[in-house]
Amino acid sequence: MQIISKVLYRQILTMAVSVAIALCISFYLSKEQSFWLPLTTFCVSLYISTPVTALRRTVHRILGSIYGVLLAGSVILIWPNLYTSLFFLILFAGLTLWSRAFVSLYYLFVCFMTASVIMLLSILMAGTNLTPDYLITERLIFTLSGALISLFCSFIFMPPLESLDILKTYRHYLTRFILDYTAVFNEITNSSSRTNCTSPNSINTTHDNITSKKLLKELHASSVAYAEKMPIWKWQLFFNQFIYQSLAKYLHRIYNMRILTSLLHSSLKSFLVQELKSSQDLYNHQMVQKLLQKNFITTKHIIHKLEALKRVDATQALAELQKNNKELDQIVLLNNITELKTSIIIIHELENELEHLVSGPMQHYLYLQQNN
Amino acid sequence: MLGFINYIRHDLEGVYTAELLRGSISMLVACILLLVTPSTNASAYMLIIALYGLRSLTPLPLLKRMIHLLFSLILLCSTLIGAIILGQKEQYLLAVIFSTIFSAWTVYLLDRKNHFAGTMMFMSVFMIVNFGMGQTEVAQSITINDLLYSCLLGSSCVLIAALVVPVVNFHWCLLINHCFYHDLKLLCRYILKAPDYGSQYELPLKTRDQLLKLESSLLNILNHVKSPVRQQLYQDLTKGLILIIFWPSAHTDKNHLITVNRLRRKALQNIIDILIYHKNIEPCLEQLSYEKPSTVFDPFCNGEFTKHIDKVVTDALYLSKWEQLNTKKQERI
Repeated sequence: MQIISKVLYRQILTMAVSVAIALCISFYLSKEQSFWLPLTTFCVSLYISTPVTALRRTVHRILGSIYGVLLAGSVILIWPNLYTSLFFLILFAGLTLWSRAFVSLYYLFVCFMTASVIMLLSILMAGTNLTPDYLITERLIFTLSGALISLFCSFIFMPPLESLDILKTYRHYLTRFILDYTAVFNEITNSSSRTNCTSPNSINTTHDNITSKKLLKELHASSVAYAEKMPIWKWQLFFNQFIYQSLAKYLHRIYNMRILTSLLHSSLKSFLVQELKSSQDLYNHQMVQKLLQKNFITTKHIIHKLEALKRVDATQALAELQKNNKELDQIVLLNNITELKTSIIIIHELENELEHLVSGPMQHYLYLQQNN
Repeated sequence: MLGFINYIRHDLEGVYTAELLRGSISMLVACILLLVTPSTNASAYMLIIALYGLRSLTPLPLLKRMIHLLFSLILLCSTLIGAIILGQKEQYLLAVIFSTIFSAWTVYLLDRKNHFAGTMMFMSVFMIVNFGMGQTEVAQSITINDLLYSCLLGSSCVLIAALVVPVVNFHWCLLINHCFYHDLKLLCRYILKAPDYGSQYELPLKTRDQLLKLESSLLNILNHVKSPVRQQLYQDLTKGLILIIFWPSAHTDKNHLITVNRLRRKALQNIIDILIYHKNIEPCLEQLSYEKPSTVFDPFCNGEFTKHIDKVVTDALYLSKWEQLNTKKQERI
C-alpha cells in the first residue's frame, strides 16, 4: 500500500513538474502553436509508472504524431477546402474513438487524434496567415520537445520499479499456481472422503463443474494479464532481451503448470473415487493418498521458497519431491495401477517444470536485483 | 474482414463502438451546425466541445447519466472560456497554476479509477490548449457571448449524441460466434502446422505466444456469449481443446509421442472439418470410433487421452448439430 502511494506521489510530482516546465518554455517561445509542447508533455506523463513506460509512451507519441501529421497534412494539401476538412474531421474523430479499443497500440490513437486536431486547427485558423505546412512543422518540433521534457522528468522523479514490478508479477503467478493446486487437492481429498462414506457413483458432479469452471476462468484471467503485460515488459526489459525471454518462458511454464493441474484433477479423481475391492487395494489407495499429500506439501514448500527467492532451500525441497515421486512411481509399477498412469506423467511434468523454475534465470536475476 | 474480427476481439463488450458512434454523431451534428448557424470568431470552439465533451458513459439510469454529462460539460465549457480569457489577458502565472493543479489532479483521479478522471483530463487539456489559443490573433476579438453561444451549441451536439446512442455497450450477436469459430480455426491450424511435440516448449516462442493469445481470446469470447446453452457448448469445446494441445507427453517413449501427436492432429482436423467446413459429420464420428483404441492397446495414457479426444470431438459434433437445429429454427421463424 505504501509502495502504491509512493508511486502515485512520484507520478503526480512528475506530471506537475513536467507540465510546469513545458508551460514555461512554451511561454518563453511564445509561438502560435507552442501549446503543443505542454500538451504532449501532459499526454506522455499520463499512465506512466516507471521511466521505461514513459519512454514507451514517448516513442508511441512521436511515431503517432508523425503518422498523424503525414495523414492530415496530405488531406489538407490535396483538398484544401472547408467541406473536405469537415468530412475528414468527422472521420478522424471517429477513428480516434475506434482506435481506443487497441490499448497496446497507443500510437494509433495518437495518430488519429493528431490528424483530427490538425483538421480542427485548419478550420479554426482558416483566414489567418498560418499555413497548414507551418502548423505541421511546428507540431512535430513541439511534440518531440514536449515528449523529451516528460521523459527527462520521469527519469529524475520516477523510481526505477522494473525489478520490483517483475518480482511482484513473479510472485503473483507462483501464488496463482499454488492456489489452483491447493483447490484441486482439497477437492480430490474431499471427494475421496465422500466416496469412502457413500458409494462411488455419488460424486458431486455439480461441485466438480464449479471447480472446473473456476479453474478455466482463472486461467483466462492469467492469460489476459499475460497478453496485456507482455508488451509493457518488452519495453521495461528493453535493454535485456535475455531476461525478457526468460520471463516469457517463465509465464508459459506457469500457464502450462496450471493446465496440468486441471488435468491432474480429472485423472486423479477417477482413481481416488473408485470402489475398493480388496485389502491390497485399500493399502495401495492409502499409500498413494499419503504420497500425494506429501507431494502437495513439498510442492507448496518449493513455491514458497521460490517466492522468497531462496533457491538453495527450494533445491533441497525439490530433491525431496523427486524422491517422493519415485516412491509413487514404484507403487504404481509394482501394483500395476493403470488408473494412475496419466497422473504419473503429469506429476513428473510438474516436477520437471518446478526444476526449471528453481534453476531458471529469473530466480538469479530477481535475487541479484533484490540484493542490489 | 480480418481487421473487423480483430476489432471485435478488442471490443467484445462493444463499449468503444458505442463511444465511436456517439463521437461520430456528435461531430456530424457539430459540422452541420457550423455550416447552418451564423458564423462567429468562436464558431470552431463548438467543434472542440463536440469532439472532446463526450465521456465514457457509466452504467447508470439514463437521467443520472445525462446529469453527469451535463455537469461534465459545464466544467469543460467553464475551463475553455476561462482559459481563453486568461490567454487573451496573458495571465501566465495563473495558467501555470491551474494547468499544473489540473494535471496533477488527473493523475490522482486516474489512479483512484474515479469516473471524474476523464473530465479532469480534458479540463487539463482545455486549460493548456485554449490558453495557447487565447493568445493568438484570431482569439483576441472573441467575446464571452460568442464563446457561450458556441459552447451551448457544442454541448447540445454532445447531449444529442448521448440521447441517440444511450447504450453503454453493444452486443455483437452473431458476430461473436463468427469470432469464436475464426479463432478456433486459427488455433487448430497453428497446431496442425507445428511439428510433432512432446511438450509445448519444443514449439517456437512465437508460436507459443500465438497459442496463448488465441486461447485467451477464445476464453474471453466465451464470457460474452449470451445464450447459456451456446456458452456451455463453447466452454466444453475450448476446455477440451486446451487439454488436448497441452497434453503432457514429454519424457515418454517415442511410440507414445507419435501416438499422442497423431491423435491430436486427427482430432483437430476433425474439429475443423465439422465446425468450419461443415463436412458430413457422421463418417467423422465413425472414423473416430474406429480409431479409438481400447485401454489394453493404449497402455501409455491409460486411455485417458483418447477419452479426452473422444469427448472433444463429440462436443464439436454436438455443437455442430445444435447450430444446424438453431439455423433451421430461425429459418422456420
